[in-house]
Amino acid sequence: MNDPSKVNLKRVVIDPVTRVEGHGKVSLLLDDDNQIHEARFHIVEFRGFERFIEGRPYWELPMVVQRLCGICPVSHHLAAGKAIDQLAGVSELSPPAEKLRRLLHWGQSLQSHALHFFHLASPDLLFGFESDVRKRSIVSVIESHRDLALKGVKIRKYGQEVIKAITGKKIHGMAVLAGGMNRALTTDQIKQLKIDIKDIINWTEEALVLVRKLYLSDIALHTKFAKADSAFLSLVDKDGTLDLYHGGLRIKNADGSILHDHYDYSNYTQLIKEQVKSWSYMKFPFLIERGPQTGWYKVGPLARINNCDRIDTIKAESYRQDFLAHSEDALVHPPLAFHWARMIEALYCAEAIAKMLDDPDLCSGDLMRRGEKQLEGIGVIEAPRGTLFHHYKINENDQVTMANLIVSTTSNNQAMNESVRQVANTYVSGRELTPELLNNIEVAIRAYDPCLSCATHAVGKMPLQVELLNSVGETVARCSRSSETGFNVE
Amino acid sequence: MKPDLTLNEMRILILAVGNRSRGDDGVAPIMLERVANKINGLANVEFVIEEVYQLQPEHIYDIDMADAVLIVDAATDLDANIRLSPIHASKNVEVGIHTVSPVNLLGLYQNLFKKAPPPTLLLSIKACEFGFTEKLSRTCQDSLAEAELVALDKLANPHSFFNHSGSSRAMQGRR
Repeated sequence: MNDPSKVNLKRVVIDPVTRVEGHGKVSLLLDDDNQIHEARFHIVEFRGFERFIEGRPYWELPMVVQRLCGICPVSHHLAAGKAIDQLAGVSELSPPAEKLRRLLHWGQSLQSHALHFFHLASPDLLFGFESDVRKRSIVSVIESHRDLALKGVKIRKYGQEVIKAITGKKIHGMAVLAGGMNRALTTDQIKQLKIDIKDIINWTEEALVLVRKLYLSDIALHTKFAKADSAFLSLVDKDGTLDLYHGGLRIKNADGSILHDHYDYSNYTQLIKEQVKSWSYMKFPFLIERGPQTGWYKVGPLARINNCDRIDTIKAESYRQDFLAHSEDALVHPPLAFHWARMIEALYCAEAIAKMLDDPDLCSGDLMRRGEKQLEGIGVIEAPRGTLFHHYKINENDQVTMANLIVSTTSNNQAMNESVRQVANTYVSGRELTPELLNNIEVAIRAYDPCLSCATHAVGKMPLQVELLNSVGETVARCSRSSETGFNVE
Repeated sequence: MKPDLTLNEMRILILAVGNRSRGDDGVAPIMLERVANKINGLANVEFVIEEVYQLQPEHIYDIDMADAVLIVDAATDLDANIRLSPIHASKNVEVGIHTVSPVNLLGLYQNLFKKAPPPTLLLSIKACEFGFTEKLSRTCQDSLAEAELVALDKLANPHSFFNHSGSSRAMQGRR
């Protein structure tokens, strides 16, 4: 690593990155010839809620963690729920309770994936990474593909309706209890959800066909862009089928060989360790047996589609096979393929919801199981952005004494840095800095769909600022971008 | 143009944006809770109240069911304790999964539905602390009291939503 004090460097800061979730910052350390010395994707917000929940009674956890994270509240609700099932001594839920949780999870994943593609990623893919930033926006998508944008909102809304039906509210809903669920669905609710599900499947498939077409339209560029080969980690069910709610951990090496299979996630502390770096609040997880330098891995839709042996819905499975057939390697590595994989999963979720809505168990009152209290619980699910770990210890008074969460974006931390570095060296180094060039870095980060916020929201806090600093920290140039004023140079 | 309340019941959507677990960020939901009981029973007005973490694209459908909209949110860039102002659709819409600003939401509405959004007011409440707590800062508590009075006055006089210059759409009936 280069020492900025020893060479004459400038620092380019993109703060925050637009069209990703929350506050992130990219720093590029440049020399006088605009050559990249180093690239870092910073996480500048401190989450800290692992400490915040210490001392709270464990049965509050599903409610508390979803209040603290407004991005994937359902994912945290479910992962915490799985952990407190164990604390309550329940190793197996009643079938109706598990089906309700799965339905809830599919609703959340569907709405998250749909919106990411339609409103965050599609401008890049439809108009090109280096096109005018004013053109590369959701407005342009609406102008040229209004039907597509409307369907994206409708799919998103449908996912939210699934969540509301099960949890009672779109936010702050409560469904998961230690050992089960707190209510079943009514036949009227199921009837309502069935009305639109065929359209949702069709629209999701249309989006998948579009992203496939866009990816393949410039496959030479898309396969090399921000490429950072690594191992993949995800849950799979006991026969290797894609499973977002439960299963064992599968880790595939970059060459496609299996490093671990059906690994019991209760032993994750023997598998994964987290490294701390001084310049970021986000940790860097790595596989212990490989060490921090080479042990990093990717999670998320691309990992799941690469890792599973099959998908148990007809259309999504067909598209999964097609997806893999387009790779010359054993696995599909390009970060932009995340977009394609994400929509395969979205279609899977829509199909799975349709199938589940015919299951009479959703209206069953057999929702709770009981067991003997345990002092440690670990819950793992596949959140929209990847594998999510919740680990708690409690005392005899049922109070949380230890909490450790590895969120999906954390697992992709090193991969995002590798992609930023790769893109910066390929697309920015030696060229005049422009919003379009800087956006190449954002395109790479967006592919991972990172989720950086901790749900604070206030008016006027989301501008894009870029600063150019010389080797002694003086600002030599500054530019900004916001929805109100567009791109400005000072 | 003012709506004829003798013919139609007017529907006002109130969106309170914020996270109660993040200090002052929760001021809008707290204010709405205080106001809700006091606006029940106002003649010829139906209030649809939504507490949300963030504004999201699907809220365009809630807006489409309303004759007027009040968005309440914490703000860090105020000189005064509160600011009540009409807002209009942004021309340059940017959307995030949890980062749709009020003007961007209206912009999304206008672009997708190809019509002007209903008259919309943004009530911004001065906030400064966003830590992990359910308590409001002293500054925010002062702002809250003022915001409550302004909101009540505005909601008790729904015609006033249409008085602000630049409101580009009169009450058209619900769609």
